[in-house]
Amino acid sequence: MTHSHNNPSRRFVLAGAAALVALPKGALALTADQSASFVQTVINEVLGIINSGQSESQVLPRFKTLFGRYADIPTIARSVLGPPYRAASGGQQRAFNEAFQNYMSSKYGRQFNDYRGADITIVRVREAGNAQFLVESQVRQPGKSPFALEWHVFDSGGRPKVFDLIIEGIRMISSEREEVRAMLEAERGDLAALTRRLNAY
Amino acid sequence: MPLAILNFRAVLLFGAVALSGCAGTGTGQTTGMNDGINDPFEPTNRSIHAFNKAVDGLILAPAAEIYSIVPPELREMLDNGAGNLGEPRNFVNHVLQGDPESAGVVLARFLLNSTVGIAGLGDPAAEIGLFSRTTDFGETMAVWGLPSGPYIELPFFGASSVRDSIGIVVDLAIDPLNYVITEEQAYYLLALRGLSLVGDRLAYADLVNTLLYESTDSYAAQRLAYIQNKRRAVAGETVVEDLDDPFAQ
Repeated sequence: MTHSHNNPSRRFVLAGAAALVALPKGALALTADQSASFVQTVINEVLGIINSGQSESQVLPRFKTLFGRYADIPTIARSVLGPPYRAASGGQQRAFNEAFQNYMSSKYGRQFNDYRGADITIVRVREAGNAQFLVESQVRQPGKSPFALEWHVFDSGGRPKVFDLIIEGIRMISSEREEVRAMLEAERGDLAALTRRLNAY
Repeated sequence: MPLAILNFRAVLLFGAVALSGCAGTGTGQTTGMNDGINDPFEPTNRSIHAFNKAVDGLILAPAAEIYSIVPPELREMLDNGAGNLGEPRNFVNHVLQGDPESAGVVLARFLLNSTVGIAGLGDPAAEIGLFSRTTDFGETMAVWGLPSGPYIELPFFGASSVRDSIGIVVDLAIDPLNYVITEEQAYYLLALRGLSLVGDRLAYADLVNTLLYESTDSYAAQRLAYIQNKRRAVAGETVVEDLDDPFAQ
Protein backbone atom coordinates (compact mmCIF):
# COMPACT_ATOMS: atom_id res chain seq x y z
CA MET A 1 0.00 0.00 0.00
CA THR A 2 2.67 2.45 1.02
CA HIS A 3 4.65 0.98 -1.75
CA SER A 4 2.56 2.43 -4.53
CA HIS A 5 2.74 5.82 -2.85
CA ASN A 6 6.38 5.67 -2.16
CA ASN A 7 7.59 4.59 -5.51
CA PRO A 8 6.77 7.58 -7.67
CA SER A 9 8.18 10.08 -5.22
CA ARG A 10 11.29 8.01 -4.72
CA ARG A 11 11.73 7.82 -8.45
CA PHE A 12 11.25 11.56 -8.59
CA VAL A 13 13.94 12.13 -5.98
CA LEU A 14 16.30 9.78 -7.79
CA ALA A 15 15.66 11.49 -11.09
CA GLY A 16 16.26 14.84 -9.44
CA ALA A 17 19.51 13.60 -7.93
CA ALA A 18 20.60 12.22 -11.29
CA ALA A 19 19.85 15.55 -12.89
CA LEU A 20 21.91 17.35 -10.28
CA VAL A 21 24.82 15.04 -10.88
CA ALA A 22 24.53 15.43 -14.64
CA LEU A 23 24.11 19.19 -14.49
CA PRO A 24 26.43 20.48 -11.80
CA LYS A 25 25.86 24.10 -12.77
CA GLY A 26 22.22 23.75 -11.73
CA ALA A 27 20.85 24.49 -15.18
CA LEU A 28 17.31 23.30 -15.83
CA ALA A 29 17.30 19.76 -17.07
CA LEU A 30 16.71 19.70 -20.79
CA THR A 31 16.33 16.09 -21.84
CA ALA A 32 17.22 14.27 -25.03
CA ASP A 33 13.52 13.63 -25.70
CA GLN A 34 12.61 17.28 -25.23
CA SER A 35 15.44 18.30 -27.56
CA ALA A 36 14.27 15.87 -30.23
CA SER A 37 10.63 16.97 -30.05
CA PHE A 38 11.71 20.62 -30.07
CA VAL A 39 13.78 20.06 -33.22
CA GLN A 40 10.91 18.11 -34.76
CA THR A 41 8.68 21.15 -34.21
CA VAL A 42 11.22 23.39 -35.92
CA ILE A 43 11.63 20.93 -38.81
CA ASN A 44 7.85 20.77 -39.28
CA GLU A 45 7.63 24.56 -39.42
CA VAL A 46 10.56 24.78 -41.85
CA LEU A 47 8.96 22.18 -44.13
CA GLY A 48 5.63 24.00 -43.85
CA ILE A 49 7.26 27.22 -45.03
CA ILE A 50 9.32 25.82 -47.88
CA ASN A 51 6.53 23.61 -49.20
CA SER A 52 3.94 26.38 -48.99
CA GLY A 53 4.47 27.27 -52.64
CA GLN A 54 5.14 30.90 -51.73
CA SER A 55 7.79 32.96 -53.48
CA GLU A 56 11.17 33.62 -51.91
CA SER A 57 10.20 37.17 -50.98
CA GLN A 58 7.18 35.85 -49.09
CA VAL A 59 9.11 33.06 -47.46
CA LEU A 60 12.02 35.07 -46.06
CA PRO A 61 9.99 37.14 -43.55
CA ARG A 62 8.51 33.89 -42.26
CA PHE A 63 12.02 32.53 -41.75
CA LYS A 64 12.92 35.68 -39.88
CA THR A 65 10.04 35.11 -37.42
CA LEU A 66 10.91 31.43 -37.13
CA PHE A 67 14.57 32.22 -36.46
CA GLY A 68 13.57 34.72 -33.78
CA ARG A 69 11.29 32.24 -32.08
CA TYR A 70 13.49 29.14 -32.04
CA ALA A 71 17.08 30.39 -32.07
CA ASP A 72 18.74 32.28 -29.25
CA ILE A 73 19.79 35.28 -31.30
CA PRO A 74 21.64 37.30 -28.63
CA THR A 75 23.68 34.22 -27.65
CA ILE A 76 24.52 33.39 -31.28
CA ALA A 77 25.31 37.04 -32.07
CA ARG A 78 27.66 37.26 -29.09
CA SER A 79 29.40 34.03 -30.01
CA VAL A 80 29.83 35.13 -33.63
CA LEU A 81 31.01 38.68 -33.04
CA GLY A 82 33.12 37.95 -29.95
CA PRO A 83 35.03 40.73 -28.14
CA PRO A 84 33.50 43.65 -30.12
CA TYR A 85 30.07 42.46 -28.98
CA ARG A 86 31.05 42.44 -25.34
CA ALA A 87 32.59 45.90 -25.71
CA ALA A 88 29.42 47.35 -27.23
CA SER A 89 26.70 49.17 -25.30
CA GLY A 90 23.31 47.53 -24.69
CA GLY A 91 21.74 49.65 -27.43
CA GLN A 92 24.44 48.74 -29.94
CA GLN A 93 24.03 45.08 -29.04
CA ARG A 94 20.27 45.21 -29.58
CA ALA A 95 20.71 46.93 -32.94
CA PHE A 96 23.30 44.36 -33.93
CA ASN A 97 21.05 41.46 -32.81
CA GLU A 98 18.27 42.69 -35.02
CA ALA A 99 20.52 43.20 -38.05
CA PHE A 100 22.07 39.81 -37.42
CA GLN A 101 18.63 38.18 -37.32
CA ASN A 102 17.85 39.75 -40.69
CA TYR A 103 21.16 38.61 -42.19
CA MET A 104 21.00 35.04 -40.89
CA SER A 105 17.36 34.47 -41.78
CA SER A 106 17.86 35.80 -45.31
CA LYS A 107 21.02 33.80 -45.91
CA TYR A 108 19.93 30.51 -44.38
CA GLY A 109 16.28 30.96 -45.31
CA ARG A 110 17.39 30.91 -48.95
CA GLN A 111 19.36 27.73 -48.32
CA PHE A 112 16.44 26.07 -46.57
CA ASN A 113 14.22 27.14 -49.42
CA ASP A 114 16.36 24.95 -51.70
CA TYR A 115 15.34 21.92 -49.66
CA ARG A 116 11.82 22.09 -51.12
CA GLY A 117 10.37 18.61 -51.44
CA ALA A 118 13.01 17.24 -49.08
CA ASP A 119 12.48 14.73 -46.35
CA ILE A 120 14.10 15.72 -43.05
CA THR A 121 14.22 12.90 -40.51
CA ILE A 122 15.74 12.90 -37.03
CA VAL A 123 18.15 9.97 -36.80
CA ARG A 124 19.73 10.36 -33.37
CA VAL A 125 20.30 12.61 -30.38
CA ARG A 126 23.58 12.94 -28.52
CA GLU A 127 24.42 14.75 -25.32
CA ALA A 128 26.77 17.64 -26.04
CA GLY A 129 27.83 18.90 -22.63
CA ASN A 130 26.06 20.93 -20.00
CA ALA A 131 22.34 21.19 -20.86
CA GLN A 132 23.12 20.78 -24.56
CA PHE A 133 22.16 18.22 -27.16
CA LEU A 134 23.13 17.52 -30.72
CA VAL A 135 20.10 16.38 -32.69
CA GLU A 136 21.12 14.80 -35.98
CA SER A 137 18.73 14.85 -38.90
CA GLN A 138 19.14 13.50 -42.39
CA VAL A 139 18.04 15.57 -45.35
CA ARG A 140 17.00 13.52 -48.35
CA GLN A 141 16.19 15.14 -51.66
CA PRO A 142 15.34 13.45 -54.91
CA GLY A 143 18.40 13.21 -57.14
CA LYS A 144 20.89 14.28 -54.46
CA SER A 145 22.94 12.40 -51.91
CA PRO A 146 21.41 12.57 -48.43
CA PHE A 147 23.34 14.74 -46.02
CA ALA A 148 23.53 15.27 -42.28
CA LEU A 149 22.02 18.40 -40.75
CA GLU A 150 22.64 18.63 -37.02
CA TRP A 151 20.93 20.95 -34.57
CA HIS A 152 22.92 22.04 -31.55
CA VAL A 153 20.24 22.92 -29.01
CA PHE A 154 20.66 24.12 -25.45
CA ASP A 155 18.68 25.11 -22.41
CA SER A 156 18.26 28.85 -22.75
CA GLY A 157 16.81 29.93 -19.43
CA GLY A 158 14.39 27.01 -19.21
CA ARG A 159 13.50 26.74 -22.89
CA PRO A 160 15.17 24.75 -25.61
CA LYS A 161 16.70 26.99 -28.27
CA VAL A 162 18.81 26.41 -31.35
CA PHE A 163 22.39 27.56 -30.93
CA ASP A 164 24.15 26.14 -33.98
CA LEU A 165 23.36 24.33 -37.23
CA ILE A 166 25.89 21.86 -38.58
CA ILE A 167 25.84 20.65 -42.17
CA GLU A 168 28.05 17.59 -42.76
CA GLY A 169 30.30 18.74 -39.94
CA ILE A 170 30.50 22.37 -41.10
CA ARG A 171 29.38 24.58 -38.25
CA MET A 172 27.30 27.66 -39.00
CA ILE A 173 28.56 29.64 -36.02
CA SER A 174 32.23 29.20 -36.81
CA SER A 175 31.63 29.91 -40.52
CA GLU A 176 29.74 33.07 -39.62
CA ARG A 177 32.33 34.07 -37.06
CA GLU A 178 34.87 34.13 -39.88
CA GLU A 179 32.47 35.83 -42.27
CA VAL A 180 31.10 38.50 -39.93
CA ARG A 181 34.54 39.33 -38.53
CA ALA A 182 35.87 39.70 -42.10
CA MET A 183 32.98 42.08 -42.77
CA LEU A 184 33.79 44.04 -39.61
CA GLU A 185 37.39 44.28 -40.75
CA ALA A 186 36.22 45.52 -44.16
CA GLU A 187 34.24 48.18 -42.28
CA ARG A 188 37.42 49.12 -40.37
CA GLY A 189 36.02 47.87 -37.09
CA ASP A 190 32.98 50.14 -37.22
CA LEU A 191 30.18 48.17 -35.53
CA ALA A 192 27.48 50.63 -36.65
CA ALA A 193 28.59 50.23 -40.28
CA LEU A 194 28.57 46.43 -39.90
CA THR A 195 25.06 46.64 -38.42
CA ARG A 196 23.87 48.68 -41.42
CA ARG A 197 25.45 46.18 -43.78
CA LEU A 198 23.72 43.22 -42.12
CA ASN A 199 20.41 45.08 -42.11
CA ALA A 200 20.71 45.59 -45.85
CA TYR A 201 21.58 41.95 -46.57
CA MET B 1 49.78 10.99 -66.50
CA PRO B 2 46.13 11.78 -67.19
CA LEU B 3 45.17 9.42 -64.40
CA ALA B 4 46.03 12.16 -61.96
CA ILE B 5 42.66 13.66 -62.63
CA LEU B 6 40.76 10.44 -62.11
CA ASN B 7 40.18 10.96 -58.45
CA PHE B 8 38.39 14.19 -59.03
CA ARG B 9 35.31 13.08 -57.24
CA ALA B 10 37.15 12.13 -54.09
CA VAL B 11 38.69 15.53 -53.68
CA LEU B 12 36.09 17.77 -55.18
CA LEU B 13 37.16 21.11 -56.44
CA PHE B 14 35.42 23.11 -53.77
CA GLY B 15 34.91 22.42 -50.11
CA ALA B 16 31.17 22.92 -49.99
CA VAL B 17 30.73 20.38 -52.76
CA ALA B 18 31.97 17.87 -50.23
CA LEU B 19 28.31 17.74 -49.23
CA SER B 20 27.69 15.62 -52.31
CA GLY B 21 28.83 12.49 -50.60
CA CYS B 22 32.07 12.53 -48.68
CA ALA B 23 30.16 11.17 -45.69
CA GLY B 24 31.75 9.39 -42.79
CA THR B 25 33.87 6.31 -42.65
CA GLY B 26 32.43 5.17 -39.37
CA THR B 27 35.56 4.40 -37.42
CA GLY B 28 34.92 6.69 -34.49
CA GLN B 29 38.61 7.49 -34.24
CA THR B 30 39.94 11.00 -34.21
CA THR B 31 43.32 12.36 -35.12
CA GLY B 32 43.77 14.82 -32.32
CA MET B 33 43.46 17.69 -34.75
CA ASN B 34 41.74 20.65 -33.16
CA ASP B 35 40.14 23.83 -34.36
CA GLY B 36 43.46 25.62 -34.70
CA ILE B 37 43.99 26.13 -38.42
CA ASN B 38 47.44 25.06 -39.58
CA ASP B 39 48.14 27.06 -42.73
CA PRO B 40 51.78 28.13 -43.08
CA PHE B 41 51.49 28.25 -46.90
CA GLU B 42 48.61 30.71 -46.81
CA PRO B 43 50.05 33.25 -49.29
CA THR B 44 50.70 30.53 -51.90
CA ASN B 45 47.40 28.87 -51.14
CA ARG B 46 45.59 32.16 -51.66
CA SER B 47 47.17 32.57 -55.11
CA ILE B 48 46.09 29.06 -56.05
CA HIS B 49 42.63 29.83 -54.70
CA ALA B 50 42.38 32.83 -57.02
CA PHE B 51 43.43 30.58 -59.90
CA ASN B 52 40.86 27.91 -58.97
CA LYS B 53 38.16 30.53 -58.69
CA ALA B 54 39.02 31.72 -62.18
CA VAL B 55 38.85 28.12 -63.44
CA ASP B 56 35.44 27.79 -61.81
CA GLY B 57 34.17 31.03 -63.27
CA LEU B 58 35.56 30.44 -66.76
CA ILE B 59 35.13 26.71 -67.18
CA LEU B 60 33.35 24.74 -64.47
CA ALA B 61 30.36 26.99 -63.80
CA PRO B 62 29.63 27.60 -67.51
CA ALA B 63 30.03 23.86 -68.17
CA ALA B 64 27.51 23.15 -65.41
CA GLU B 65 25.15 25.66 -67.00
CA ILE B 66 25.38 23.83 -70.33
CA TYR B 67 25.10 20.45 -68.61
CA SER B 68 21.75 21.51 -67.15
CA ILE B 69 20.12 20.85 -70.55
CA VAL B 70 20.84 17.13 -70.07
CA PRO B 71 17.72 15.49 -68.54
CA PRO B 72 18.13 15.02 -64.78
CA GLU B 73 17.52 11.27 -65.06
CA LEU B 74 20.47 10.91 -67.40
CA ARG B 75 22.67 13.11 -65.22
CA GLU B 76 21.82 10.93 -62.25
CA MET B 77 22.74 7.80 -64.20
CA LEU B 78 26.12 9.21 -65.19
CA ASP B 79 26.73 10.30 -61.61
CA ASN B 80 25.83 6.82 -60.38
CA GLY B 81 28.14 5.29 -62.97
CA ALA B 82 31.07 7.42 -61.85
CA GLY B 83 30.29 6.66 -58.21
CA ASN B 84 30.10 2.94 -58.89
CA LEU B 85 33.55 2.95 -60.47
CA GLY B 86 34.85 4.55 -57.27
CA GLU B 87 33.67 1.59 -55.18
CA PRO B 88 36.81 -0.57 -55.68
CA ARG B 89 38.89 2.27 -54.25
CA ASN B 90 36.40 2.72 -51.38
CA PHE B 91 36.59 -1.02 -50.70
CA VAL B 92 40.38 -1.14 -50.52
CA ASN B 93 40.46 1.85 -48.20
CA HIS B 94 37.76 0.54 -45.86
CA VAL B 95 39.75 -2.69 -45.60
CA LEU B 96 42.94 -0.75 -44.87
CA GLN B 97 41.01 1.22 -42.24
CA GLY B 98 40.04 -2.03 -40.53
CA ASP B 99 36.37 -1.38 -41.15
CA PRO B 100 34.94 -4.66 -42.50
CA GLU B 101 31.36 -3.43 -42.11
CA SER B 102 31.84 -0.50 -44.49
CA ALA B 103 33.95 -2.66 -46.79
CA GLY B 104 31.07 -5.14 -46.92
CA VAL B 105 28.52 -2.44 -47.67
CA VAL B 106 30.71 -1.04 -50.44
CA LEU B 107 31.30 -4.48 -51.94
CA ALA B 108 27.59 -5.31 -51.83
CA ARG B 109 26.83 -1.97 -53.49
CA PHE B 110 29.34 -2.62 -56.24
CA LEU B 111 28.03 -6.11 -56.96
CA LEU B 112 24.38 -5.10 -56.85
CA ASN B 113 24.67 -1.83 -58.74
CA SER B 114 26.94 -3.31 -61.42
CA THR B 115 24.38 -6.04 -62.16
CA VAL B 116 20.82 -5.12 -61.13
CA GLY B 117 21.77 -1.47 -61.50
CA ILE B 118 22.98 -2.07 -65.07
CA ALA B 119 26.68 -1.20 -65.08
CA GLY B 120 26.18 1.10 -62.11
CA LEU B 121 23.82 3.50 -63.87
CA GLY B 122 21.15 2.85 -61.27
CA ASP B 123 21.56 2.74 -57.51
CA PRO B 124 19.23 -0.06 -56.36
CA ALA B 125 21.57 -0.64 -53.40
CA ALA B 126 20.56 2.70 -51.87
CA GLU B 127 16.93 1.68 -52.16
CA ILE B 128 17.54 -1.21 -49.79
CA GLY B 129 19.46 0.99 -47.36
CA LEU B 130 22.99 0.36 -48.60
CA PHE B 131 24.07 3.98 -48.92
CA SER B 132 27.36 5.04 -50.42
CA ARG B 133 30.33 5.20 -48.06
CA THR B 134 32.89 7.15 -50.00
CA THR B 135 36.40 7.21 -48.63
CA ASP B 136 39.98 7.60 -49.78
CA PHE B 137 43.55 7.00 -48.72
CA GLY B 138 43.78 10.41 -47.04
CA GLU B 139 41.08 9.22 -44.65
CA THR B 140 42.82 5.87 -44.28
CA MET B 141 45.97 7.65 -43.12
CA ALA B 142 43.84 9.72 -40.74
CA VAL B 143 42.38 6.53 -39.27
CA TRP B 144 45.91 5.23 -38.85
CA GLY B 145 46.56 8.29 -36.71
CA LEU B 146 48.59 10.38 -39.13
CA PRO B 147 47.98 14.12 -38.68
CA SER B 148 46.61 16.12 -41.59
CA GLY B 149 49.63 18.41 -41.73
CA PRO B 150 49.26 21.93 -43.09
CA TYR B 151 46.27 22.96 -45.16
CA ILE B 152 46.94 23.06 -48.89
CA GLU B 153 44.87 24.32 -51.78
CA LEU B 154 45.80 22.36 -54.88
CA PRO B 155 45.37 23.73 -58.40
CA PHE B 156 42.20 22.18 -59.93
CA PHE B 157 41.68 19.78 -57.01
CA GLY B 158 40.97 22.55 -54.53
CA ALA B 159 40.95 22.23 -50.74
CA SER B 160 43.32 19.60 -49.33
CA SER B 161 46.06 19.01 -46.79
CA VAL B 162 49.53 17.51 -46.95
CA ARG B 163 48.11 14.15 -45.85
CA ASP B 164 45.18 14.25 -48.25
CA SER B 165 47.40 15.32 -51.18
CA ILE B 166 49.60 12.29 -50.58
CA GLY B 167 46.39 10.27 -50.39
CA ILE B 168 45.39 11.33 -53.90
CA VAL B 169 48.63 9.94 -55.31
CA VAL B 170 48.48 6.72 -53.27
CA ASP B 171 44.86 6.15 -54.31
CA LEU B 172 45.97 6.09 -57.94
CA ALA B 173 48.42 3.34 -57.09
CA ILE B 174 46.07 1.20 -55.00
CA ASP B 175 42.83 1.61 -56.96
CA PRO B 176 42.18 -1.89 -58.36
CA LEU B 177 40.29 -0.35 -61.25
CA ASN B 178 43.45 1.22 -62.61
CA TYR B 179 44.93 -2.26 -63.03
CA VAL B 180 42.09 -3.78 -64.98
CA ILE B 181 41.11 -1.07 -67.42
CA THR B 182 42.75 -0.39 -70.76
CA GLU B 183 44.25 2.98 -71.59
CA GLU B 184 41.27 3.76 -73.80
CA GLN B 185 38.88 2.92 -70.97
CA ALA B 186 40.90 5.17 -68.67
CA TYR B 187 40.03 8.10 -70.91
CA TYR B 188 36.34 7.22 -70.83
CA LEU B 189 36.55 6.97 -67.06
CA LEU B 190 38.23 10.35 -66.96
CA ALA B 191 35.43 11.84 -69.06
CA LEU B 192 32.79 10.22 -66.86
CA ARG B 193 34.37 11.60 -63.70
CA GLY B 194 34.66 14.99 -65.33
CA LEU B 195 30.95 14.94 -66.14
CA SER B 196 30.13 13.85 -62.63
CA LEU B 197 32.13 16.79 -61.27
CA VAL B 198 30.28 19.18 -63.58
CA GLY B 199 27.05 17.57 -62.38
CA ASP B 200 28.03 18.22 -58.76
CA ARG B 201 28.80 21.83 -59.62
CA LEU B 202 25.28 22.05 -61.02
CA ALA B 203 23.52 20.17 -58.19
CA TYR B 204 25.23 22.27 -55.53
CA ALA B 205 25.33 25.52 -57.48
CA ASP B 206 23.75 27.59 -54.70
CA LEU B 207 26.11 26.30 -52.05
CA VAL B 208 29.21 26.74 -54.19
CA ASN B 209 28.13 30.18 -55.34
CA THR B 210 27.45 31.28 -51.77
CA LEU B 211 30.82 29.98 -50.63
CA LEU B 212 32.92 31.28 -53.51
CA TYR B 213 31.20 34.44 -54.63
CA GLU B 214 29.23 35.72 -51.65
CA SER B 215 31.75 35.16 -48.88
CA THR B 216 33.73 38.16 -47.76
CA ASP B 217 36.78 35.87 -47.72
CA SER B 218 36.08 32.84 -49.89
CA TYR B 219 39.52 31.36 -49.24
CA ALA B 220 38.96 31.29 -45.48
CA ALA B 221 35.38 30.06 -45.92
CA GLN B 222 36.45 27.14 -48.10
CA ARG B 223 39.34 26.27 -45.80
CA LEU B 224 37.06 26.13 -42.77
CA ALA B 225 34.44 24.09 -44.62
CA TYR B 226 37.07 21.60 -45.79
CA ILE B 227 38.71 21.18 -42.40
CA GLN B 228 35.44 20.74 -40.51
CA ASN B 229 33.90 18.44 -43.11
CA LYS B 230 37.04 16.29 -43.22
CA ARG B 231 37.18 16.08 -39.45
CA ARG B 232 33.64 14.71 -39.41
CA ALA B 233 34.38 12.27 -42.22
CA VAL B 234 37.42 10.92 -40.39
CA ALA B 235 35.74 10.67 -36.98
CA GLY B 236 32.58 9.20 -38.51
CA GLU B 237 30.48 11.79 -36.70
CA THR B 238 30.58 15.41 -35.66
CA VAL B 239 32.97 15.64 -32.73
CA VAL B 240 31.03 16.97 -29.74
CA GLU B 241 34.15 18.42 -28.13
CA ASP B 242 34.60 20.75 -31.12
CA LEU B 243 31.26 22.48 -30.63
CA ASP B 244 31.03 26.09 -29.57
CA ASP B 245 29.75 26.68 -26.07
CA PRO B 246 26.58 28.77 -25.81
CA PHE B 247 27.38 29.46 -22.15
CA ALA B 248 30.86 30.84 -22.88
CA GLN B 249 31.05 34.46 -21.80
